[in-house]
Amino acid sequence: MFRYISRRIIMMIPVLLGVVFVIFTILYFSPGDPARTILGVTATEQEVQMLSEELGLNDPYGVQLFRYLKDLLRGDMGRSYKNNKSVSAEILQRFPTTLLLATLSILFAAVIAIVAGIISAIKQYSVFDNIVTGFSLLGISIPNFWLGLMLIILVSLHWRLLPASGFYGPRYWILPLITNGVGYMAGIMRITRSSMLEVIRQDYIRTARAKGQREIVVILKHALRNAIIPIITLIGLQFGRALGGAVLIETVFAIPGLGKYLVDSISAKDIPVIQGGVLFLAFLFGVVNLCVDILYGFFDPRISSQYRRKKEKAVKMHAKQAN
Amino acid sequence: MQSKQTDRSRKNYSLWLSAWKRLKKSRMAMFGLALFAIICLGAIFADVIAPYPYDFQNLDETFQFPNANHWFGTDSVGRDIFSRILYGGRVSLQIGLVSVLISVTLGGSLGAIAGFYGGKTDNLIMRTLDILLAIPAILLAITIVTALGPGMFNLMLAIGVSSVPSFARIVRASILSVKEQEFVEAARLSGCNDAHIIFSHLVPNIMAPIIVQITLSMALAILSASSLSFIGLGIQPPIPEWGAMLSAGRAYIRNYSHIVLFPGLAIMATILSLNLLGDGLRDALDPRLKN
Repeated sequence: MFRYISRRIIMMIPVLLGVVFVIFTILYFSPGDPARTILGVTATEQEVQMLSEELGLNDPYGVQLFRYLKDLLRGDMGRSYKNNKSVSAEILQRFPTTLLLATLSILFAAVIAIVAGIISAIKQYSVFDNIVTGFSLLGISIPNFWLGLMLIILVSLHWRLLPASGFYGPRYWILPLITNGVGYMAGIMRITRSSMLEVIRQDYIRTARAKGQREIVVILKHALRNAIIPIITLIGLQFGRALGGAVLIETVFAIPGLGKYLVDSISAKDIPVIQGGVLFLAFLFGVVNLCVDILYGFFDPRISSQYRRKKEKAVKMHAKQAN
Repeated sequence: MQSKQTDRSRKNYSLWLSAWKRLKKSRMAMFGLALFAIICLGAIFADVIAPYPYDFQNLDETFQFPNANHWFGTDSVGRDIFSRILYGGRVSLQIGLVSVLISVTLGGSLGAIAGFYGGKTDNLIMRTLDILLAIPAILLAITIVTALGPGMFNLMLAIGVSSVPSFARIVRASILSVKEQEFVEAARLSGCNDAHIIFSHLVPNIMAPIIVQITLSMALAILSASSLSFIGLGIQPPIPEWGAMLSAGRAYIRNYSHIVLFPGLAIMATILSLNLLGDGLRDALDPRLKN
């Protein structure tokens, strides 16, 4: 298992370097003069030139990329063009909100969706199954930022039950959670249902039942454990979508997280912030993917044993040689 | 010889015909198809159907609730929301179509090359695409639009490029599943070059998953376009776009919620229709799911 995890971590490094390269390159070629952006229209040409020189903006592309990478390794993402604040400090201050929202939404969605998906697979074609299938079809099709607006209109403005904006405590979490959760729930329900349907027809489920195992154990231990890999895969992907989708949900509910920070800096063409924000979210996504891979190894003994077997083989070889 | 020819063409025909027959049996898929057809017709004939031009402002009739003159009401400068939704459909459908064309061409060829040649080529292409997959799609699109600037074509390009990896993966997997079959060997022995084998022999055999993916990706592309417009990165006013209409209407939700109700319903109806159609197509085209 340890070999498996460390291999995954090593495989992540070139991908992350590639991500930095791609994002840096795309933004490097964006039009506009950063020094002019910082100084404003009133600055003289000479001042703009001086600042460009000072920030190293006149250096060739390769030099700038290398410098960005070097700074990034020390945790420095440059300074905002708008207010000269350190981008990494601003991101570190904001990302817990975004991560909390994404994690809570996914957990909320996954728990309900997996339970509903299992029931709907066991009771295929029942009324409950039809409701779940219908809900997941609608849920996949609803744009979540619009659902958020509708919930604000109904729950906050009409019924005055919950606050419409901000993120200061559990009362503020409910609407964003539902808004975010519905789409993810719909997807997870679908995959749970179809994956469970595939598994519960297998022979080993019949065997488990035939040996008199209790139904709940058959479903949770024998069926779910074999159906869980595609579910986990989807949850991992949803997590990535939740991190990216933060730009929408945080705009709708005025949540002071990383997504809102990104959106606010787009209109100002604050490149270091956009670059840092996108890279940080991609990095978080990478960590989530790593966790998903580790969960694979945990749930599917075939994966981790691939690595164990190699080790055992080596031990056996060694023992043979010693003899 | 003559009869053999007709035989083959009939067989070929009946493959798609039987898929269509299966599709017709699915009520959900037919509902999706009908809904999508209505949305397309509304968008194509917007200038005939729409009671007002999309940018016609009537400052005497601002914030009207839905009524006989303005079916969906009017917005903050008195523009007819129904007309704007019809014209907005043009924009959304165009973006959906073109961006999917971009991703299917780019992603499809990359995936086909990777799957067909395997080995080092495969590794190089797929590892590069892994990098793009590591960036959440909407963030990649935001980065590209930031660099290129807002506008319809840039939006299409951004959305198209951000779904290249998923297309490449599907095409690659499908190519891998058919490339070892005898008809490929036969084509090679009869002297066909690689390009001919890929495009005339392999691609027609993997059309089913590609068609399904095109339908579902179009839904996703329309959603991404409206999302980007909603945060101010997509279509710029006064061109009507559903996401941009939502964004502009946000300021007035306290008293005039109809302004944001209808554009959202339009997005949802379009995505729902494409999802229903895509699911139906998957069941109809995938012979493994028969029975």
